[in-house]
Parts: sequence; C-alpha cells; structure tokens
Amino acid sequence: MFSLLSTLTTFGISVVLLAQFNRDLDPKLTLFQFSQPTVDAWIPTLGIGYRIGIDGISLFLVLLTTLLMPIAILASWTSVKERVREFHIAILFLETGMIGVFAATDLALFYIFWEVMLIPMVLLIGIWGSTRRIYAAVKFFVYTMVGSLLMFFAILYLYFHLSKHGQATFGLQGIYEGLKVHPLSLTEQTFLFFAFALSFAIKVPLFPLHTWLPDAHTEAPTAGSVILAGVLLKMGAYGFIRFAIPFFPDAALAAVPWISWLAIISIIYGALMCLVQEDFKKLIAYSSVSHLGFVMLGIFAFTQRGVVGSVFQMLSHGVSTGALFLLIGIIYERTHTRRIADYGGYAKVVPRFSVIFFIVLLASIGLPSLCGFVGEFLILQGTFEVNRTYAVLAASGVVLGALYMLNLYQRVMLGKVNPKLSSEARAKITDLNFREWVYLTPLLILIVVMGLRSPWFTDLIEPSVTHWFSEFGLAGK
Amino acid sequence: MDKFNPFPLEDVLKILPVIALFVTGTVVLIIDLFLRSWNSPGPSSTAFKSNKWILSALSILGTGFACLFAFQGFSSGEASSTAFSGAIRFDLFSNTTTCIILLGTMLTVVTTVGYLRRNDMEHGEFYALLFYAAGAMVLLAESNNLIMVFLSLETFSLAVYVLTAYTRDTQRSVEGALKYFVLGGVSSGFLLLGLVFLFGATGSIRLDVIGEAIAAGQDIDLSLFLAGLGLSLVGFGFKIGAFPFHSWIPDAYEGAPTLVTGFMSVTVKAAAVAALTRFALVLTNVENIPEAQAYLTETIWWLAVGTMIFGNLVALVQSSVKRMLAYSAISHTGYILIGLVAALESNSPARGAPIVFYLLPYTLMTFGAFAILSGLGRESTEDETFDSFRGMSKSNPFLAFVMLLFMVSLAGIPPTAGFWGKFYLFQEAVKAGHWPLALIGILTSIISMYYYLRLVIVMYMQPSGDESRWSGAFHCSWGAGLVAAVAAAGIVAIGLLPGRLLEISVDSIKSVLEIASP
Repeated sequence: MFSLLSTLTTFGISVVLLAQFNRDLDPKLTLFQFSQPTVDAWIPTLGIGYRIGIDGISLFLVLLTTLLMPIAILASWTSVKERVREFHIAILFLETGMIGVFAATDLALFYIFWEVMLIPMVLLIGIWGSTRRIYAAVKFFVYTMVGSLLMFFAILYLYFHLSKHGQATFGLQGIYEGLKVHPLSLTEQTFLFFAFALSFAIKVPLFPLHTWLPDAHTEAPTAGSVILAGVLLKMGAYGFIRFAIPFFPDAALAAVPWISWLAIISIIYGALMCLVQEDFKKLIAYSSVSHLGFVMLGIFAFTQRGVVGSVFQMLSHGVSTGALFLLIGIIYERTHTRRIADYGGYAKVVPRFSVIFFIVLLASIGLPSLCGFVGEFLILQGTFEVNRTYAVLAASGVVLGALYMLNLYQRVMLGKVNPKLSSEARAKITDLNFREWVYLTPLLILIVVMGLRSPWFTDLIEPSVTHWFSEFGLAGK
Repeated sequence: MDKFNPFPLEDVLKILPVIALFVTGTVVLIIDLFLRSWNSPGPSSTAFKSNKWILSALSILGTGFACLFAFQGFSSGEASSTAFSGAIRFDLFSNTTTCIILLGTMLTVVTTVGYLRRNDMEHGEFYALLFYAAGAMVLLAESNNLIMVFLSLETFSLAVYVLTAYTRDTQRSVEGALKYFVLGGVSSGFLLLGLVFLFGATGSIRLDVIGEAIAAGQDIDLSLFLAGLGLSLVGFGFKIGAFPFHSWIPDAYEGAPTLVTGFMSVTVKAAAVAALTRFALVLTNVENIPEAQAYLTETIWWLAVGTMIFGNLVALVQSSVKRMLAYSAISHTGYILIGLVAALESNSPARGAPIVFYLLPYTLMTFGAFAILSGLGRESTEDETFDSFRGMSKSNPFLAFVMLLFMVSLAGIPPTAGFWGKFYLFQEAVKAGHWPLALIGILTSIISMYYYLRLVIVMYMQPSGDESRWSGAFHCSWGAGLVAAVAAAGIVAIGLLPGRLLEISVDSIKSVLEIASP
C-alpha cells in the first residue's frame, strides 16, 4: 500500500514538472531545466558532481517511468503473494535507478544509476518470475553487465582524454564543451562509440544482441515485464541520444549504415519471429524488438522528423506494450497458461477484455489516430528523406506488424471457444475487475490522446531535438 | 655524555596502540590461566565454559583502547615524525593504515563472541596470538627501518601460522598451516636477503634516509639495489598473495578457522600492502634511478595481470564459498597492484591514493563475508558449500541481504563502496596511461560478477531443502551478525558519500611521498 502511495506521489511530482516545463526557454541557454539542487562538489577528488537536469527528451521518459510504476504495483496486487515486502523494495529501488538514469547530467552519476537498476531487476526476474526465471535472470545480468563494464572503461578513457587538456570533469555540459575544443581522433571516437553503443544496443535491444530479451520478458513477473518493456528498453535509445552520439558525432555518422541495417533486420526479424511464437509473452517480447528497431532507425536517420519520431515512438511503445503486458498478466492470472494454443474464442468469455485488447493491439500496429501511428509515421518519413531503401524495408515491418498482431487476436479471441476449456475453468475466467480498470484506463486514454493530440507532446520534444542537431554538428536537415 | 635512552617517553607514547594490543594479549592469556584454575573440573563442565566471556570482553576493551590511541594520533594533526631512532615513522599514511588494521582486529574480536565457543576454540591463547599478530602488523605499517620491516613481518607471520593451525584436529587446518609456514619461511628468506642488499646498496637501514639520499642524487650500487628490490618484492608478494606467490592462499585460507581466515585476509593484506606501497614509492625516483622505477613498474604490471586473471578464473569453478572468497581475495590483490603500477608511473602528487582508499572498503566487505560464513554452521566442509546457502533469504532474510550487499560490493556495483574503490583504481590507471591494465581489470571484474552473483542466486532464488539449513536469525552467533551489520552499513555509507575517505587517502599518500621527493 505504501509503495503505491509513494509511487503515485512521485508521479504527481513529475506531472508538476511537466506543467512547469518552460517550452519557450531557448535550449542554447539552458539545456537542462530543473537542475537544482545540484551538488557539483559531491566527490571532488574524482571530479564527479551530483548533477541532474531534464530537457524535452528526458521529460517524457521520466513521466513514462513514474506513470508505469504505480500501474505496475497495482497490477501486482494479487499476483505477488510471496515476499511481498521484498518485491516492493526491489521495485522502488528500480524506480530510483530509472529516474536517475534519465535525469542524470553527470556521466559518472548516470553510470551509477544505470548499475543501480541492475540488481533489483535481476532479483525481480529471478525470485518472482516463472519457470525458467533463474536462467533468464542470469542471462539478463551477464548481457547487461558486459555492456556496462565496457561503457565504464570508455567513460574513464573519456575522462582521461579531457584531463590531458585540463578539462577533466564528468558533467555533461563540461564534456560537451571540452570535446568541442579538444575533439577525439576518429579512431578513438570509433572505439569509444563502439563501447558505448554496445552497452546501449544490448539494452535497446538491437539485433543480434537481443537474445536476452525474449527470455527475460517471458519469465519476468507482470510488473517486471511492464517495467522492462516500458522503460528499460528506452534507456538504450536514450543513451544513444544523450551520450553516444553527442560525444562521438563523427563515429556516429560513420556508423549510420551499420546501425540502420541492424535496425531494419531487427524490425523484420522481430516481426517474423512473432509469427511463429507459441508463447503469448514471447510474441509480445519479439514485437518489442521490432518496434525498437524503428526507434533506432529513426535516430540514425539524423533528421529532425526521424529523431522526434523516435522519441515519440519510445513513449508510445512504452504505453502500448506496457498495456499489452498488463493485459497478458490479467489473463494469465485467470488461466495460468501462456500457450496461445490453449486459448481461443475468448471474446465470448471476456468481452470487455477483448475490446481493450483490440484497442491496444491496434495502437501497437500503428493505426492512425492512435499513438503508434504518429511515431512510426514520423520515423518512416524521416528515414525516407535520407534513404528510400531503408524506409521501404522498414515499412514492410509495419505490414508484418499488422499481420502477427491480427493473427494473434484471431487465435486468441475469435473463433470457437477452445474445447479444452472446461466449464469450471471457464467460470473462473472473469472479465476485468475494478482494480484492473483503474490501471488500464490511464493507458488507454494516453493511447488515444497521444494519437489524436500529438502536438501536445512533440511541441515539447522538438526544441530539444533541434538544439541537439545544431549543438553537435549533426547534419540537420 | 648523555646516556642513550632506548625508550624515550614521546616515542613510547606514539606506539601506545601497539602497546595496548600487546598488553591486552598478555593480560587475556594470564586471565585465562586463572579461569581455568577456578573451574578445575575438566573442560566439559559448563561452569568452565561460561566464564570465558571475560576473555572476549577484555579483548574488546583492549582493542577499544588501542583504537582510541590510534585515533588520537589522527586528530592531533601534527606533522610526520619518527621514533626510536627512526625505526618507526608516524605520518598520516601509517595512521590511516593502523586504523584499518585496528578496525580489522576489532571486527575479528567482536566476531569471536559465540564463534569460539561454538567451535570449541575458546582459549586465551587464541586471543593472545590475535593481539600479538595485530600489534606486529601495526608496527609493520609504521616501519621506517629495514630491520623493523622484517621483524614485524616475522612476528605476525608466526602468530598467524599458529592461528591457522588452531583447529589442529582437522587435517586441512594443519595442512594449510604447514604450507603457509614452509612457503612463508622461504619467502621471508628472500625478503631478508633483499633487505640486506638494499642496505648494502644504499648504506642506510632507514627508509626515509634512503629516500632522501636517492632524491638528492647520491650514488648507489645499482645492480645491488635492483636485486634487493626484486627479492623484497618476492617476500611482499607472498604476503599479499600476488601471482605467482599465491599458492599458499587457497589452502591456508580454507584450512584456517573461518574467523582466522577473515582476520588474515584483511589485516595481513592491509599491513603488507602498506609496507609495499611505502617501499615502492620511497625507493623509486624517476630522475635519479629511472631503472628502478622501470623495473618495478614492469614487474608489478605482470604480477597484477597474472593475479587478476588467475584469481578470477579459478574462483569461477569453486564449490566451496570459503575457497571462492580466498580466490576473490587474490583477485582483489590484483586490483590493488593495478593501483601500485599507476602510482609508480604517474606524476601526480597524490599518486597511490587509490591503494589507501581501497583498503577500507576491502576490509569491510571481505571481513563481512567471512564473518557471516563463520557465524553460520560449524567448521566443516559441508557448511561452506554454495548449496548450504540455499534459501537463506527465507530463513535468514537479514543475513542474506547483508551478504547480498557484500557480494555486490565485491563485484563493484554501485552504489557500494567496492564500486568507488574500483572506480578510483581504474581511473588512476587510465590517467597514468595504463589503460590496458584498466581494461584487463574491467574484464576480470566481469568474470568475477558471475561467482559473486552465484551466491546471490543461491540465496534468493533457489529453494532450500525441506528443513532450511540454518533457520532463524538466532542461529548465527550474534557477534558475527553485529559485525556483518556494521560492515554493511559502512559499505553503503562509503558508497553514498565517499568524499571524505577519498580526501583522507590523498592526504595519507602525500605524507609518504614527502620523503620520496622533498
């Protein structure tokens, strides 16, 4: 109960942030808002300061995090029965880490928060997950750890490079300025970019580093999956935007073809894997791979539309896939199976659920007037401006998306009710109860609002993105 | 003519912590004799055992006094000074390391409550040995004189050898102790010869005098000097457990009673690292003897790499938590050696500070882990396997969480103290240009995550058997629990606010460097 209240309070605070965010503030003057209290001299010996701040890009990501947390807690109200206290401790620590990652404007602080998220997530998957949870947790841990330790090395090297010219600091502003005055050589940039990119690409996840995702998502408890899909995946993309690309622009531009192709492969491969899945959750997990492929494509198109679209898609994916995992969790609590073959004809059994499911599904596909469309469209348009092949290939991903999602719906909801479903079992499958309505509704509202009134969001994102382009000399088109 | 006073009062006052430790050891030993005669029917009577708490109490009191004296030295803030004709040097560095050694001793002594009784080891001799060892270690940290280095090293080594063999009924204990003793004897021989060569090359036995002479550009016999450095490095390398001088560690650590292992792994390492650091920093001077610096740097570089890789790789395959912790101690020595390499190569006025900084988190986390291990179960191989920790999070949630913290800190994950230790070490290494070393350090850290995480997984995610092995928090001796809690709190505190400790490390190392480059 307490954790519910505290997460709701946090959400409330972040809404206040939204209201106070000054959209007219010229980013050239104040890149980050809300940066007080900053303790620059937290650890002066090491050059680390407790510096935080939010701009248009991170604002919504923070909001997404604080929105999904109370929802996740509500969702776990009945499904987590053992060791409830530890569960909530882990979730709250996780939230701290997540908000910290988005808000940190000091590189070492960012790294600290990035690592802080690790253990709670491992515990969440490993203790409260389903059958293969230990395997999934260890896999998740190993993948993430390898990436982040390489990033750690790159951070140290960056600091060292700056200290050679007397500009040693971990603060983002300081690093940006220092790098402008004393840029790194292309070789150095390539290696460092690779180190950072590896770590973020694992998180995103980008093919071929995605193999931890299906296991982690399927074996995690509902709250874990929601948070993983909704927030954690975005951190990889955020890391690219905030750190990897601004620090190493030349290397990033050189990497465009590589990453774009990997993104396209992610999109198509992810979608194809969805078509053959037997497991409900794994299917949605692969769909995340596919959607995040879009995000990466948009970022590396390096066009205004592409990047804004990516940020928006991050948000919309968080909302829609988060909702999908919540729905899966709801039905799983009733039926205790994730095999799609065990389902069928549920539209008759749980009609309201099936309607909600359909709406969220459409959002995920990218139906215009729902949130998914805006992001995907902007990304495709942004990509089309620079490379038609990429855009065409990516667009096929949209079609495939519709294919697997509608196929899923048909197999689960439509048709005859599964004959294996005995009547006692059927009686247990109740439709949505009050608590579930409470936490699904905000997401549904958001899905529609984001789809119909996207300028409310993009207006705040755009100035930061424009600034991003001009500040780092990325060919803004 | 002035009569030479071998015990001038100011000097005696300066070594009060050492005196307190020795006196406590002797007092406890003597009191134990009386305890035995009070309750003269054989050792199995309960009345006999129940008076022994006096020993623990006295020990804690004695260590407390020692700490008090040591901290007093800290806050008085006087400049560095020497005592006993230059045998001992008091600077911030020796003060800091003394405090760390005393911390290790205090933790050990508190953990003895309950532990000794359960394992039938409760004799005054145990405490006496402990205190003699601790006192000698403090002297080693303060040594300024080649003979003093050797004497203090040998004194505590002998005490520790006996402590290792304390549970003399078990074969592994005796085996471990014997290995330690024989190999230790050999390495002490190397050390002695090395120190003698250093004397021969430089003409003085006092480190500060040697340091000043080198800095002033005096002629020294180079080949003898380098030989001396190399041989002493063997001796020190043995004590800190660097590859390839590490082979005694797994057996000695496993054979010794777990509490003794904890004590050894923490205090011996701190003292030996302190002495080695002082040696390395004082005796190498780039302008005047570039060969010495080049030689030491290269050698220690290889030692560091070998230690890290070996320690981490072998720890992966251990099925005993105790042995895993022993190998983890070896790998942490490797990280410290990275710091030493960085210190030798760097020009910064605070070079070597990460080494000092690392000692405190290392003490807390390693001893904490050993304390928990010692507090549960009995001294037997079955109680030390990974499997015996299964399901501990349900039966002993507090201890499991504390162990989680130690594992996380050992692995170097923020926001714990272990993270800052590694961060600082690797940062200095990169700053000194040794980024391959930092990279190896990071890669081996990745490997280490696996075995640290393994314990976490076993504790939290694997179901225990029908009866949880150690059900209930009361099964852990309360001394161990208290120590574990304090250590964990310390780790988190340093993890969140490392600033002050960092400053202290920087100032400490500067006080050592005063002699090296005045």
